[in-house]
Parts: sequence; C-alpha cells; structure tokens
Amino acid sequence: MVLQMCRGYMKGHEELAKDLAQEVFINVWNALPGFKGNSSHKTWIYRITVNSCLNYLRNKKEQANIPIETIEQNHTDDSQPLESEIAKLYAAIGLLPEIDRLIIMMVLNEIDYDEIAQVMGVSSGNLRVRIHRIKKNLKNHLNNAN
Amino acid sequence: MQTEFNDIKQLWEKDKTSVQNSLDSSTIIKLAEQKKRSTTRTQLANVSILVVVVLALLAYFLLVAKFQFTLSHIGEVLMCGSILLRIAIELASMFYAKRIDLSEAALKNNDSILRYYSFRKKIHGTVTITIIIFYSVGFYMLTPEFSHWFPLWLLILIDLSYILAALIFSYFIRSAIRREMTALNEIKRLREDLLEQ
Repeated sequence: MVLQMCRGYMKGHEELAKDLAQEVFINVWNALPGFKGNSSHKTWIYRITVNSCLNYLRNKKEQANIPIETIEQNHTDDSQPLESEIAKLYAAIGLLPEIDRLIIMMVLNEIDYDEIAQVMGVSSGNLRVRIHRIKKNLKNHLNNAN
Repeated sequence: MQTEFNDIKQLWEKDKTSVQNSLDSSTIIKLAEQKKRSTTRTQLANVSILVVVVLALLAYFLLVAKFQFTLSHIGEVLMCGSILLRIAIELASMFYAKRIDLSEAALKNNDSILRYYSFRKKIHGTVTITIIIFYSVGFYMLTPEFSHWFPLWLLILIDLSYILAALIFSYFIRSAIRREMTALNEIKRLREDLLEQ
C-alpha cells in the first residue's frame, strides 16, 4: 500500500519511490508513541503517508521534478504489454497535481470516501466533487497516452 | 478504445503484486532511530555554536579585555544580548518544529507547517535585521576604547574585516531565507490546492 502510493506519487520512479517509502516507514515508527487510537491504524498510516509525500516534495523539490517522458522511456522499452500499460498508468497519475495524485491512489486502494476526507482534512462533499473531476482527468490522460 | 475507471482499478490491482518493500522492520527501526538522533543533533548544533560564541565573548570581555568606558559596556551588552536573543529564537523554533504532527489530517498538518514557516518568516524579517544591527552597533561601540590599545592601521583592519565578515554572513542568511520562503510559498500553494473543490 505505502510503496505503491509512493511509486504513483513519484510518477513511477522506482528509486525515488523506495526512498520516499523508507521516509514514510521511519515517520510511522517515530510517530507510533503518539498513536491515540482515535482512528484506525490504516487511516493513521495513510495520514502519515500523505503528509510525508507532501513534505518530501517540499524538501526535495528539485529531485522530485522528474519529467514524465523519462519514466515512460524507462518502462516502454520493456517487451511486456502489461508492464507498458502499468507504466502508462503511473505516467497518467504523474500528470495530475500532487493532491489529486494522492486522492486518486486512495480511491484505487478502495478507501471509503469519508475516510479519504478524514485523511485529507476536507469535507466529504467537496471530496466527492473533486474525485469525480480527478477520475475524468485521469481517464483523459490515459486515453491520450493510448 | 475509451478507458473506464474499472479498467484503471484492475491495472492498479495487478501492479500491487509487483510492489514489494525491500526493507525489513529491524532496518526501518534502526534508520528511524538514526534519523531522530541526526535531526536532534542538527538542531542542537546551531544552538551550540551560538552558545560557544557567547561564552567566548564573555570570556574575552571578563578575562582578557576589561573595558572601562560606559560606551564599551553598552557595546558588550548589545553584542551578547543579541546572540542570546538569537539562541532563544532558535529554541522557540525547535519547539514549534517538534509540535508538527505528521499523523494529523493533511490540511491540519499543512497549517501547522504554515504556522512554523510564518514564524520563521517573522524571525527572518525584522528580528534578524534588528539582531544584526544591535550586534554591529555593539561591536563598533568598542572601537573608541580599542583605539587606546591598538594602532590606527590595526583598528581600521579590524573594522573593515568586520564588514567583510558581516557581508559573508548576510549572504548565507539571505540564501537560507530564500530557501525557506520558497518552502512557505509551496505550503501556501498546497493549502489552496487542498481547499480547492
């Protein structure tokens, strides 16, 4: 769950995704004594993952600015059609703004909308409208890639 | 062929199997402890340097150069006082940073970081300039009494080298301020993005 989210957030870049995932796990471990049980473990970990992703981008802005083309080239060289499709998916996710990227990956992980709203700290109503728009944008990006 | 969201979901699910974390829990715990220690060390390093500077200044004023002029005493107080103020600000900054909770909701976390950087912005503005002015005025207040001990050429050399050191110091402060202001703008942008419908 964490590594796949990091991979999507880092536009499919494997090494950066692993680095970010490591950062998330470290943050989870360090935040563990403060876990109050007000939410489920899953929501709590998602919150740390989302916040770590956003902080990582701020702290390592230059490093995180990976051009999508590079990623596509890395993957489309592969002869496997499934891998090529997955690479296109990550590239399409990478075209979305950071917040939208995180939201859509939680949707793909089948997290309840109310839970996503809790993780992001926004109202469920706003989130539903936003998810509808993100889905549309993601589909457009994928259709353009195909 | 048009892509449907269910197709995207299936593709995402298929990729789940290929995602494997290469780190075991004991390595993560070790890295977490290391990170905690290194963060504390970095934060304390800044404060420690400033404490050493104050102690060196106090030792110089009390043991080596026992100034007689009232003007020099005011200069001593201004120099040491401005560094002590900086230490207090660094400690307050550390306290603010510690209060940032990564397990909060993204918007709340972003607001905590925004408050921290806004505090840093205030420090970098008026407060830092005031500290530098107080320190410099204090330093030049020592010059009249220095003139009784040192020849004119050495006095000029001391005063000019202070200007050079102040310029180099200001350059580093300016770079740090720029970095933090870029981060502040980034946080503000993320906040707007989070609140967008």
